[in-house]
Amino acid sequence: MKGYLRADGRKGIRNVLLVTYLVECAHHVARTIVTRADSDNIQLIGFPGCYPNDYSLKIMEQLCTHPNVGGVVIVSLGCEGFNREHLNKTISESGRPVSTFVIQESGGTRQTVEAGLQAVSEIQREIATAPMVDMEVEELVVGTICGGSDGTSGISANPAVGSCFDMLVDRGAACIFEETGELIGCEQIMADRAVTPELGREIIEAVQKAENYYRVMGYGSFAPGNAEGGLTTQEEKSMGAYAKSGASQIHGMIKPGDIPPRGGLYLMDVVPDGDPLFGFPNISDSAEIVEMIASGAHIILFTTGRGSVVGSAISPVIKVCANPETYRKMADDMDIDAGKVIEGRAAVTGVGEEIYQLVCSVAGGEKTKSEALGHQEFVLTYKQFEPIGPACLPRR
Amino acid sequence: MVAVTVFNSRPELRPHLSPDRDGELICLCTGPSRKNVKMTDKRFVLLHASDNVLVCCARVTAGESVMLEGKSVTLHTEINVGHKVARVNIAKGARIIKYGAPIGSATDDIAFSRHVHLHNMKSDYIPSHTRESKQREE
Repeated sequence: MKGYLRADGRKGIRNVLLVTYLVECAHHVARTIVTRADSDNIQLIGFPGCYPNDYSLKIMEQLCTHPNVGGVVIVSLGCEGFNREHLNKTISESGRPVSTFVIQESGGTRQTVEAGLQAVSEIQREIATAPMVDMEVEELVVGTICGGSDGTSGISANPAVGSCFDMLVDRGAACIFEETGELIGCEQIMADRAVTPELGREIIEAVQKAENYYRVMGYGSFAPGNAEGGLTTQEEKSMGAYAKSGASQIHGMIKPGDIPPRGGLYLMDVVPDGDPLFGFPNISDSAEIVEMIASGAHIILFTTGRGSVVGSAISPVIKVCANPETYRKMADDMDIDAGKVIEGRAAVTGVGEEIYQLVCSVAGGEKTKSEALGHQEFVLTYKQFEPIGPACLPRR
Repeated sequence: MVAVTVFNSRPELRPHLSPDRDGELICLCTGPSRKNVKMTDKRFVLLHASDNVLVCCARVTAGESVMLEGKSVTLHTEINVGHKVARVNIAKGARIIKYGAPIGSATDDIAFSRHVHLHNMKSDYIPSHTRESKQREE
């Protein structure tokens, strides 16, 4: 497979031009630029809040310097708290073309849109010449998430993704699984898989933090559709979700925006540190996808039983459908039919191999279903984190 | 071999899903436990030898007779894909075991073959919610 070589040495599998707004007040201008530019690779992301927040700045910086991203246009209203200078500087230092427009200084909506479109077309020309170089599986970062889980997720799609993860980790890729709040009940089992006892303790503490956090919120990470699909409790959902991690050792634990330092299997601790301040850790599946992309994920493996349709800005999402009935209803949205495991038409390892092959094809440029349908969902909200502890990334 | 979940460090006890769908027997367990598995309708799967629930793989309507664990029973309610039925009689307060791991506790006595869900079990961690109610725990 070939990748886009960036000036910072990282390799991407897509060549995206991001238009990002830094407060909801700049959303319309940014969206208008993207709509009028009308190209698959010109995508919209943004942050709605007016107050500054270290987490959202870090995530935005990591997204704008993601290997799948070639260049960026920043749209600011002007008076919001987001540190646009810092963001612009980080992008520029990564070697990517970037232009910042401040609506209050650019003459308002119409003139900012025109200026933004001009910048988009210049950056588009520049990134079209990004060098393509050989890229190996070991250079990939792959994340996984489950959304719209039901009683089939944990016995078909999730273990199939786990099987694919084992293949990827064996070949040196970095794989990320997450939602410590959706792994409540699995903490001891995960700790036993950690490469060091110290990492194991960090994992247990992260899950305890998640349990406390969700208890304050009053809800676990458990949607009504989960129950309709046969799942009864958080820990039952957790056991199924956990199967996505495969059988490799757990090599480290990261927080959103931390890049895995090398290949291996990583757990992402997505639950904020400190007292619960900003509501639910992840308000929807897309928020989790964005965090894994901020940690460098080139591709997301998304398992669903009830049937999610989401994709994402920046990185392609491969949809693995757990439930054979859902697959028949929503085949146009699904890349992989893992429900055949339920119906006895395939083994988990066979579907795992199928996912692995698709990961390689998608890395090579093939569009996923959600990509082809134009899904580019994006959510970024407030959080706060302390840096990870030294035991989270044991030296190897 | 890929485990459904890797809860058990002893490989011979790990459940897996290489379907063994010849004839009526549908057994997803490897190792010594296989001998103990009784005849079960292929619309239900046992994920781990120590489980006290079976998982439905294809919808079964109320009033249908099915073979579970070598016994023919008539199901009282419709059971949809992904839902659980009791593999044995489960006493109130007992742990519900799936994937070989506890997934909650029975809030009522649950008879063999009955649907196991929000009405008769609860989380040992965090309450579950539905569209109708914030909390289903009494």
